[in-house]
Amino acid sequence: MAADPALATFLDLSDDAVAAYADARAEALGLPLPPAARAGVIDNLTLLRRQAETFIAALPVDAPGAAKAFEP
Amino acid sequence: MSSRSATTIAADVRSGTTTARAETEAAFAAIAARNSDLNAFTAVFESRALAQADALDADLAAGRPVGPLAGVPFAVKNLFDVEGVTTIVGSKIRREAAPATRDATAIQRLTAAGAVLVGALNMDEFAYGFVTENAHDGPTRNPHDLTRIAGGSSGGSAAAVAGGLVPLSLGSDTNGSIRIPASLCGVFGLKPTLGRLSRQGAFPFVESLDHIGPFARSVEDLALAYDLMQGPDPLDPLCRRPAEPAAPRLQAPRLQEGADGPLRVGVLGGWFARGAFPEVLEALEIVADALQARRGVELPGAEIARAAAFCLTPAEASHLHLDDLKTRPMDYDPAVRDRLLAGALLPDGVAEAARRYRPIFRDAVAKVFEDFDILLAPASVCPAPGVGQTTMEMDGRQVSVRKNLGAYTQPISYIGLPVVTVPLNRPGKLPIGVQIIAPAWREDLALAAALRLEQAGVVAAHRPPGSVWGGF
Repeated sequence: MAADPALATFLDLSDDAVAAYADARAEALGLPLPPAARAGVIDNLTLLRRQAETFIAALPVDAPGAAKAFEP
Repeated sequence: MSSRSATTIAADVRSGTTTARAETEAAFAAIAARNSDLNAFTAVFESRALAQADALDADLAAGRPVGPLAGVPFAVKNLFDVEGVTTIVGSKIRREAAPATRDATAIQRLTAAGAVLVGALNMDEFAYGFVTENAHDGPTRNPHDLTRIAGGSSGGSAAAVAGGLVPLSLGSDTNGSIRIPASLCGVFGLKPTLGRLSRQGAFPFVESLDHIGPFARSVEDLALAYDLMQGPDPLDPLCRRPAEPAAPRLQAPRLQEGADGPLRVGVLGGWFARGAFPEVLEALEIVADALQARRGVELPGAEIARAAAFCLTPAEASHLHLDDLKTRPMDYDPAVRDRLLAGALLPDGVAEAARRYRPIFRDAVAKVFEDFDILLAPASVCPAPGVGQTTMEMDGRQVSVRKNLGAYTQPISYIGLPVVTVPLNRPGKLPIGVQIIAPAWREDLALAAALRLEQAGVVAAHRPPGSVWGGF
C-alpha cells in the first residue's frame, strides 16, 4: 500500500481524472505537453497507473526499501 | 544450418583457406545485396573493417597469433559506441552528438579476439520498443517475410544475422530486446545475467535493467562470443564478476554432463501461457518434450513483476531524457516520446515501489529453481506481426503490439536472470522462439540445454527465402 501521499493520490485517480492530473503535474515539472502528444501521453499514463496499482497493491507493507544496486 | 558460422569462418581464416579481407569484403557484398530489403544496417565501417582485416592477414602471414574470431565480420546495434562515429541510438536527437572517442568494451573485446566490426544496426529509438519501426530510419524487415517486423528493440541485430549479412551481432535487452527479435527472426540470442557483460559504451535506456548480449545462428557461436566478452570492467560498476567461460564447459566431459546429462526442466504456466498464440504454445511443447520437461510450473508474482518492470522502465528512462523532453519533444519518435513523457509525470514513489518488488520476486523465483535447472517459456506472444500493425489479439482482447510483445520476457529481465532464446526448427514457417531461463550466473545451463536441442535438430536457425547465406 502507498504511504507516500503523492503516490496515493496518483493511484486513486479514476481513468477520467488522469488528463487533469497530467496537465497539473506537467505544469509543476515545467514539462510542457505538446498538443500533438497530449492524447498519447494520457493514454500511456492511464495504462501506467493501472499497472502501478497492480504491483503496489501486491507489495507487502513491511517490504524493505530498494537496495542501491540490485543483485540478481 | 549454414556452413558459414563464425566458428567456421575463423577456422578457415586461421588455416589459410580464406583471408580476413575476403570475409570482410563478402560481408559488405552481402550487405549491399540485401540491406535495401531488410533495412538492418544504418551505417557501415568499410575503411576501418578492411584495415583491421588486412592487419589480421598480415599477422597470419607473419606467423603471429590471432584470436578465436579472426576475420569474423560482426555488427552492433547503433547504441554501442564506435570510435570516431556518432552513437545515434536510433534517434534524431543524438545525430548532433560528438563522435565516440573509443569503442564500447564489448566491441573492444570482440575486436581483440579478431572479429571485424563492419557496421551499426537499426533499432527502436533509445531502445524503447519491441518492433524496430523507427520513425527516423524506417522499419527493419523480417528476413523470413519482408511484410513483417523483425522485432525490437535490437531488430537490426537479429535481422542482419538471420538474413546472412553477418554471422554475429550484438544487441541490448532491457525488457526483451534481444529475446523478442531473436524469436521473430529465428536466430539464437543470449541475454546474460544482469552485470555479466559490461555495458560501458552502450547508451543507457534503463540503467538498472539494461543488459547486452550476442545474436548468432548456432549455440557454439553464441557461447564463444559470450565468453569472449566476459570479465570485470571497472567502467561498468555492475560488471565485477570474473569470467566463467561456458563454451569449454559445453565440450569437456564435465561440460558434457551439462549438455547430455539429465537436466531438471520446468515449463512455465500461468502468466507465461496467457494470451499466447496456439503455434507459440505448440513450439513450447515440442521443446519441452525434447527436454522431458515437467509442465505447469508457476512463477508466483510474474504478472506483478511484469507490471513493475512496465512502470520502472519509463519512470527511470524519462529522467535521462528530461532536458530534451522539455526543449525538443517533437524531435522524438512519437511512440517513444509519449511513453517517456508519461513516465516523467509519474510520482517518484512508483519507481521506488517497482524497485522494492524486485528482491521479493527474485527470492520467489530462486525458490522455484531449487527444483529445476532451467525453466522454459515462450519468448513472444505470437510470430512476427506485420509492419505497421498496431494491435494484436491477446487473451481475447485487442492490445498494443508495441506494449505487449514482451509480456513473457519482462518478468525475467526484471530480476536479471540469464536466458537463451532458441528458434524452433520449422523451415518454411515464420520463426518462433522459446526462452530457456537459468538461475543467476548459470548461463552455462541455458546454453547446455540449447546445445542439446540443436544437436537433436529440435531448434535451428534456418535459411530465410532470398537470404545470402551463401556468403555467411
